[in-house]
Amino acid sequence: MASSNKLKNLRKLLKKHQDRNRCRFTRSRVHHIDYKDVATLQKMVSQQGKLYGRARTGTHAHFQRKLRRAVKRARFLALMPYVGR
Amino acid sequence: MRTRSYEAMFLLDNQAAQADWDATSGKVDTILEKHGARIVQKEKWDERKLAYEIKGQRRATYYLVYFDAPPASLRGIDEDLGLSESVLRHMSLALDEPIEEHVKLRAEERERLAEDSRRHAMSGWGGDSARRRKGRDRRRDDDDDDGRGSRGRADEEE
Repeated sequence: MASSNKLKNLRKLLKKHQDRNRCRFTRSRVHHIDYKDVATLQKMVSQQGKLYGRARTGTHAHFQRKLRRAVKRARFLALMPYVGR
Repeated sequence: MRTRSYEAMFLLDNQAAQADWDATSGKVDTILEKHGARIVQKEKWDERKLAYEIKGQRRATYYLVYFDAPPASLRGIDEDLGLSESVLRHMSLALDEPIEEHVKLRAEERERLAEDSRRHAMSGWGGDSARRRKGRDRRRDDDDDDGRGSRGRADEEE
């Protein structure tokens, strides 16, 4: 009984973890990524302003491409840095 | 003439924008209208610090305009804006949907993304964001201590 409870807890943790690591754009049911939404873009880049890889953020390929475009637009308009902080 | 919907962002020189907003943004509007654009919606988006210097400026006023225009006119608009002194930089994007729909949908999506990240910060699994908040609170507490400390010292001086 005790071991099955443990297993249940583990499964719960795993579920939580998986959910957390899924693509945030899919989860939020968005279709576009806006270059003006700096708060969201900022979460997808490192301190230096480099875009995080999909392995780290769990972003789906479709959205990673849109994200890349949005970040580049934001950089052009000086909303985000090209390099450094 | 066939037109398309566009969204354009302009970075306006702060000195000019703060001195006379209507004249500065009006200059942009005139350029657009001269080339046959019909402005649907315009907005002073933000006044913010630039991530890097543009033409020696560290800050700028962002001006967001939605307009309908014939696709062939965009080239002329770009050229004229490039010659304009008070526009530091500009970018125009073609939209796939009508303007009203686009603005509404994007606002809803932005809200959903914000809601999602709020929920995650709360869940305790938000990792860095939760930790960052804790760090920030601690720093704020330190500031408060400093405040009290300096007030205390001020009292002593009196």
